[in-house]
Amino acid sequence: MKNTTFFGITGAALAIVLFALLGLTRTTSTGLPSIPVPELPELRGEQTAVLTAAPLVPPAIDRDYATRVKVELETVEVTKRLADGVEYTFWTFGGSVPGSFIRVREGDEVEFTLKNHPTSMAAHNIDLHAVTGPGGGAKSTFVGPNQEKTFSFRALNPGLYVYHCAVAPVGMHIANGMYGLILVEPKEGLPEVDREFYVMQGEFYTEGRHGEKGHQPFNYDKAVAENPDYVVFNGSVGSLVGDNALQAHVGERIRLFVGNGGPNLVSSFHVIGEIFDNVYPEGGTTVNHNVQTTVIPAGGAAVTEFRADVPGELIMVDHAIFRAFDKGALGMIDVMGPEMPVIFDGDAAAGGH
Amino acid sequence: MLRLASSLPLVLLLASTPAVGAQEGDSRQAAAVAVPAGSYRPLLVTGDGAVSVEPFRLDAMAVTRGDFLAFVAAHPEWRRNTAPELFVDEGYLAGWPSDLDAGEGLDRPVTEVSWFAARAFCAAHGGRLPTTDEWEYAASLPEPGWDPADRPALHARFLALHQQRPGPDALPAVGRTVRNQLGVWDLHGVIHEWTADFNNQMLTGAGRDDRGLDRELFCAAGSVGVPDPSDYAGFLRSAHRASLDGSRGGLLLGFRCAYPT
Ligand SMILES: [Cu+2]
Repeated sequence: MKNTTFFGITGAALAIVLFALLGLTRTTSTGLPSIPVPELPELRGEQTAVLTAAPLVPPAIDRDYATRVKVELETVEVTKRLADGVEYTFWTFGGSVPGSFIRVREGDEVEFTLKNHPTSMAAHNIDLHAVTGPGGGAKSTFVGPNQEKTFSFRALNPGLYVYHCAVAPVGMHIANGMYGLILVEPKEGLPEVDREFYVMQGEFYTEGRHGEKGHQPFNYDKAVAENPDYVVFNGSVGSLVGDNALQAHVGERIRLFVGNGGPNLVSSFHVIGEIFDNVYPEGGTTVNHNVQTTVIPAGGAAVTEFRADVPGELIMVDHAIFRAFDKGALGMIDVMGPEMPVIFDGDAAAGGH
Repeated sequence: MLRLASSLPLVLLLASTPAVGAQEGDSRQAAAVAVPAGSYRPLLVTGDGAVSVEPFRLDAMAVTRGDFLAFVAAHPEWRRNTAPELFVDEGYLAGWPSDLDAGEGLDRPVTEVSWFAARAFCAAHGGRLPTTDEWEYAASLPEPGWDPADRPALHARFLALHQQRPGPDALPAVGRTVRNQLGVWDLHGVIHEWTADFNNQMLTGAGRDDRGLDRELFCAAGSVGVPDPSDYAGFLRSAHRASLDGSRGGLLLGFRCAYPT
């Protein structure tokens, strides 16, 4: 027994000595291995991020260098229209669902401040999927009503990312509307387009059935069963319909930043009457072409691009089609301009798919 | 969070407070409800999970603006303009028109009071703030006619009441919402309430690295190690409590007192 232990210890000691001799671990004064600090672009200057409410998107970044970007977002609990005659108490980032769109550049250092409004009932925080670091910032931003906290992160990976509240019960915070998008533009920028829009899908689980009037609280059983009464774009039924439809002109290149807050459902995002020329699936870097329907996971995003070739009404749907027809997942893009019979010739008033 | 640096002078001051106003036969204390010994299941539990609570007495209703006005009238050191900065922040009673004017609706629950001020109020009545276990135990008891064993139904009821909270501009008078089987009012449907050890979660374990707290409060979190994740009102209270700072009150944060049997 003694000998075994003895050899065991010797073996371990020998291994450590060998390791050190081979230079595999350079140690600091604290005895921990020193890890080289990654090389990052130099930060020049400082600016405050422009935040926008959906469907608007902040202007493209014209910097060719990294900077320190200040972002300030406030969590607010507000009672608003979910559908005609139906009210819901939304928990929001910035006062609306989805939360404010944040746009930064790859390499930027983001100084992020989260405030929680004094009238809030709940404690909130933010987990930004664009963050490399613990909880995506969730623990560093845990704020009760009338508190604020700041943390910084380096936007290392370009892409379109979801952010959301991550305080328990996290499903309820997300189901109440606590999600939004942050775009980390690649350092070389995105190809120029004529119009950019912000569209985000989410489900609502209400006490009453779809359409039941009055203020509707969140329903736990339906959320657990993943059986929502409402599936909507931009926080309410009809948020992108009629006078609220997105506007574009024939010949324009259109980019949709599309997110899915969930909390449960995967979106089969489709635009009736168009084909996506480009899709950045899952908000990442690869580009797919000529796509009819793109899958957007809960807690994920996609960038879709197309040229509006003919005039008319384009209809955005979750092509899990009962959600569009019966639960609200439907929005419109009005494309105005001259007819293009060489591309499409027919009686458009007849409608259809 | 209770800052360590501030706690020493504070303990000295608070220790001297009870004697000042505590009176024999305090009417507030006399009206408190007896809570018999019992047990409840906290969100995060190990083993069989039940936490026992010794008998105590609890205010049937939250402390009102009128109650608190009487307190600051009798204890000038807790008025808005004189309370020490260590114990209250700039939001202390900020909604009151003046130091000795609590405005309209004196029978509404008082809010915008720090933990320190709440504690001093209870001490002046010969009591203390309830512990989190005591408060949660009282709040786990149903209204008359509800089956205490039917947790899913109770959790749905508590969450519904939580969601019916009217907001800071529409706080109802105390004793108007729901009364539980012991006769304790408004534990679910109006405000959050201070507890003596609200910051316990922060102080046990290794603070931010406390895995248990992380599990309970943050994302990946949720239900790992939680035998019954359906107590959503409980999660909301627990997260809110963990966010609190002892010197900072809130528009939707009040309190009630506990007393020995
Ligand atoms: Cu939240």
